[in-house]
Amino acid sequence: MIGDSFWTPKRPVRIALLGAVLAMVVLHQSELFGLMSSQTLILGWIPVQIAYDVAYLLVGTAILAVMYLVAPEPPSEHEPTAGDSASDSATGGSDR
Amino acid sequence: MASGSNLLVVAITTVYLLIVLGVGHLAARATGTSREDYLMADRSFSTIILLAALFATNMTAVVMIGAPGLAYSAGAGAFGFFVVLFAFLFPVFLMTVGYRIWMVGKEFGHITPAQIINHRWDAEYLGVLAMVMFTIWTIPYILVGVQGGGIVFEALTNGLVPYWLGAAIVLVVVGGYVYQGGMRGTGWTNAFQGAVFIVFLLAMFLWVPTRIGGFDSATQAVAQINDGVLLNRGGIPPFQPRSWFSQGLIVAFGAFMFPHLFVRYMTAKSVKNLQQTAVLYPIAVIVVWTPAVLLGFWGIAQFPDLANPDFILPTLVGELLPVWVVGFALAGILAALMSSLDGQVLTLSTFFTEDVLKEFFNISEYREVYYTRGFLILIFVAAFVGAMVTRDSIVDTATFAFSGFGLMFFPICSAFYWRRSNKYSAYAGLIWGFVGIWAFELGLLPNSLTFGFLPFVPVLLSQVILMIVVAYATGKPPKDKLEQYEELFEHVW
Repeated sequence: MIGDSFWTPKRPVRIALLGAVLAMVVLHQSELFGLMSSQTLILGWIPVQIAYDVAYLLVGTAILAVMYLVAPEPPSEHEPTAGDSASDSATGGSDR
Repeated sequence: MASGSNLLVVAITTVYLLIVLGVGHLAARATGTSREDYLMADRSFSTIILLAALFATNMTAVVMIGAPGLAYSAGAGAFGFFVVLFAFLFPVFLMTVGYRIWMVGKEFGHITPAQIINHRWDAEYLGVLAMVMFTIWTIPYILVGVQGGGIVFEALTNGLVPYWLGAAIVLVVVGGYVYQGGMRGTGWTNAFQGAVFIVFLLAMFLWVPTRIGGFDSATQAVAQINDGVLLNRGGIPPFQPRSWFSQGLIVAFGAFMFPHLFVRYMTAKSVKNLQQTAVLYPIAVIVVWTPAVLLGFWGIAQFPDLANPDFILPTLVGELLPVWVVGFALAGILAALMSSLDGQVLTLSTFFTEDVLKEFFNISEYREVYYTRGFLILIFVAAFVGAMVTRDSIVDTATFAFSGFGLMFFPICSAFYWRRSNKYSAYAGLIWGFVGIWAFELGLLPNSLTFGFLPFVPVLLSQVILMIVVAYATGKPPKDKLEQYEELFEHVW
C-alpha cells in the first residue's frame, strides 16, 4: 500500500475504526436483528425497518465524526492560505 | 387544459426558474475566463457549497421521483435497499479515497480522472478509455433527469406543459446557468436548489398526512394491505439478503465514482472542507430520504392503481393539496433534477475538452472554455432526443448506470493505494468490468453465475482477481511516478 492508508491500519484506534466500518457493512443486513418480517411500528406509524435505517445512519455519523477527529492533518503546503479563510472549518484533531 | 389552476402552477414554476437563472448569473459574474475558474471554480468550495454540490447533485430524480416510486412499489424497505449503505460508505470513501483524489488534484493540477490515471501509470490512452466509459454510463443518468422533468411538468400541469416541453424547459434552464457560470454556477445554484427541495420534502412530509388522517392512519392504511407485507422486506423479492447486499454495494461504489462528483472532490478549498462534508452527509440523506420514502409508502393505500409508480409524489401533491402548492411542488422537484443535470453535463464537457482536445490537439486555454461550452450544447440536444425515445422506470435506469460506475472503482482508485498496480491491470479491470456487466445484462452469461447476488458482485470480485493476476504478470509501474505518489501520500489516509 502507498502511504499511511486507512485501509491497512497499524494502530489500535485505526484498527478499531476500520473494524467499525466493516461491521457497519454487515449490520446493514437488518435480518440479523429479526426485522425481515417484523410488522412493528415505532411510535405507532414508523415501520421498524425505516426506524432501523435511520438509527443505522446516526451510528454511522458518529463513526464518521470519530474518523474526522483522528484523521491525519493534511500537509501544511496544501492548506488554504490565511486569505482563503477556512472559517467554516471546525477544529480537526491531530493524528493519534 | 389551460385552466386558471394550471396557469397558476406554471406561473409559480416560471418565477422559480427565473430565480435559479438569477443565481446562476450571479455566479457567472464571479467567474473568470480561465480554465481553472470555469471548470473547477478555482478549487475554492467551502463546506456548505461542497456539501450542496455533492449532495444536491446526488439526489436527482432518484430521490424526488424514484424513491417515492420504489416505496410505492415495494414498501418500507425502499430506504434501506437503495440508499442506506451508500449513505454510510460514500462519506467513508470521501474521507479516505476522496482525500487522496483531492491531494493529487492539488499537487499535480489534474482536473479529470483520466489525467490522474494517465499520469500515475505513464499511460497515453488509458484515460481516454476511462473517459469513454464514464460518458457511456453518464448518458442514461442524464436521461433520468430529463425524463423526470418531462414527467413532473406533464403530471402537475395536467398536460398543459406536455412531456416534451417539460424536458426542453429543464434543459434550457440548466444550460443557461451552466453555460454562463461553469463549476461555480453549478455550486451556487446547487446550494439554492438543495435548500428548496429539502424544504419542499419536509413540508410535504408534514402536510400530506394531515389530508389522510394523520401519520398513524396513513401507515395503518398501508398495513391493511396483504396482511402488512409492505411494512417489511420479507415478502418482497428484491429485498432478500443477497440482492439487498448487492444493491447497497452498487450504489455506494457507483455513486462515489460518478464523474461529476469525482471532479468536485477536487474543488474543495481544503481537506477539512471535504471531511466535514463527509460527516454531515448521512444526516442530509436522513432528512431527504425518510420523507421521500414515507410519502411513497403512504401513497400505496391512497392511490393504489397508478400505472406508473414514478408518478406517486406528483399525484399525492396534485390530488391532496391546494393548487398553489402544486407550483411549489413542481419547483422543488425540478430543483432536485436540475441540480444533478448541471454537474453531469459540465463534467462530460470538461472531459471532452481536457481528455481529448487538450490531450491530443493542443488547444489554447481560451479555446478550451469555448469548446467546453459548445460541447455542453451538443449534450443538451442529445439528452433531449434520448428522453424522447426512452421512458424506462427511473430506478431501473439509474441502477444499471450505478453498476457501470461502480465497476470503475477498483481500476481507477488502485492508483491511489496499490503500489504494484500498473496501466495493464487498470486496462484489464476497466474492460472486464464493462464487458462483464453487459454480458449479464444481455444474457451472454447465465444468471446462475451470480449465486443469488446481483451481477455486479461476481463481476466486481472477478475484476479484482483479474487485476491482481495481470499486475503480477506484467511489468512494474514507473518508479519515478511511484516515488512521487509515495511522498505525496506519506501521511495521508
